Amino acid sequence: MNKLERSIQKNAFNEDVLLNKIQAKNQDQMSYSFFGGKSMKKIVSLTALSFALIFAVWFGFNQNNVKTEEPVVMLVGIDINPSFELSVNKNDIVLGIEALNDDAKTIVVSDLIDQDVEDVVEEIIRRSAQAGFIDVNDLEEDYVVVSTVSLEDNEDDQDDMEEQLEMKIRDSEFLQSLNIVQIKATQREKFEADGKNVPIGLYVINGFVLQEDGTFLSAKEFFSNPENKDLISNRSNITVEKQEKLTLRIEKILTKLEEDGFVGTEYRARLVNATYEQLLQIQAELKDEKNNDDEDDLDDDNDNDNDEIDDNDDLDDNDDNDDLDDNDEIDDNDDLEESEESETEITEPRGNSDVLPKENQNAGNDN
Amino acid sequence: MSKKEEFETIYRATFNTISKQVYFKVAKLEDAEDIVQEVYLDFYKYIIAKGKKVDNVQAYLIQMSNNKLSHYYKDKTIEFTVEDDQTLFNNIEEPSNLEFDVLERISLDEIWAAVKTLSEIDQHILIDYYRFGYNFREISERYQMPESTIKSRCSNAIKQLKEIVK
Repeated sequence: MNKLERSIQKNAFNEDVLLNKIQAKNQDQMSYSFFGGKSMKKIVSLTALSFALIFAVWFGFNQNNVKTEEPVVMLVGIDINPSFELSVNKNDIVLGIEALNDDAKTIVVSDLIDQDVEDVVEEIIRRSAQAGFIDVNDLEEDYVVVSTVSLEDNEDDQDDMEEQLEMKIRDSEFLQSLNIVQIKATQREKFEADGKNVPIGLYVINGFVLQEDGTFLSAKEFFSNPENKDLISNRSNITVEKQEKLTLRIEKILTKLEEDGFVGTEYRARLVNATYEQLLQIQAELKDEKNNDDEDDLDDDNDNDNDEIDDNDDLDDNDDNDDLDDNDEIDDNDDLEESEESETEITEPRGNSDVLPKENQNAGNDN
Repeated sequence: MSKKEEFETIYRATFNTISKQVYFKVAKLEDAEDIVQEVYLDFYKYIIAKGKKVDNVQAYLIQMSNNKLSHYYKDKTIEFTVEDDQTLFNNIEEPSNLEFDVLERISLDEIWAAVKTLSEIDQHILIDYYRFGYNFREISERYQMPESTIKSRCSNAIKQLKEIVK
């Protein structure tokens, strides 16, 4: 080995030198304690703690499932439609989980306290899916917004948290079936979001689109418009559903549609070697097909309903005739009332949510 | 096995692979070393310290380094510009023993100080060749440059070193 080689081996990526540096930094992080650190660290800790306490009091922080004896350094918001806010300590342990809307209150999460934040995020999304708020087997692209707010204004910690969450997303089979939008929010945005009583993630994304009526879009509504995705691209890190998962989902949907008589041969042929963008296109086309199908079904249902009404009218006419035959005036009036009632019943929707007016479908949707 | 020992075992088993993987994607040696350090620090903080188990440690570390790299690319535009030097370096001769003899007479640190004055691409080639043991063909494939260019650059870099330390 010549000297040049030895010099390079000594100085570039020196295994031992880097290990020592890593261990020194590790030690530094481990020995970082509230009472044991250097004076500057102590000041930073005190400031951070004071800020966290002020923040906690200011926002009525001591609510659902929150242990307050440890300082909370980070808030993590999860917006699916159920919206949650996790309070996290410096060791990334979840100290509290707050359900931010009625949908969220239907999901039990209290057992997730004291667990690692990335595991809790995954589990909450999983439970929301189990509760039916996300259907990974339908034609809708599902979006989950995961936002972080550092209460210490420490962007490095926020970056670390984002990275940990990103690793979890890439590592989790389940999360790969979803589109996850990670947003780094500021304390100011959190303050404003709380003022408007809107979850932080939704507040940030809705900042990009102004609703005329002042309402806030859900994550799914917001991201259903591709332009909105572009708008927020600089502000967020979007981990899209894995290609193989998307292919699998489309195949499942095709099978389901084919069971109802749909001919999916052309789509199946296109699925082979399709790029991610092509898969999204196929998904959109299938969605249109399904919507057209549903509309046809609805038209058929209405036609049938009208037929039924006509039939009943005919029937009533006959009854009336019978009654007329009987020449009984009182019975005739009764029959008339009955006829009006039955007509009203028939023209009402049959309780199928697909044919309910939009506002009824959205009833109970907090966002 | 203590956590420190567990970490060191993993570090030693994976360090070369992770370092190579990162260095090929980052222009500056210092940036690459920083990224590798951060990867292992995070691995210690989030996996070892918490007593978590990972099925394939090397794959996990590679994924972590890819994440770090994507953040690095977000912040910086990589400028790894190489002039069209095929004609420039084609006529350069292989370094003679004379060059190496000159280098043998000075200390390792002085040589390293001279290496650091070379262009980033030349440092890259020398480190890829002498530190990670890649051959010229492998380096040329990674940087999508002709093999002859890589050889010429390497020879020229050594000649430059001799001039610097003389």
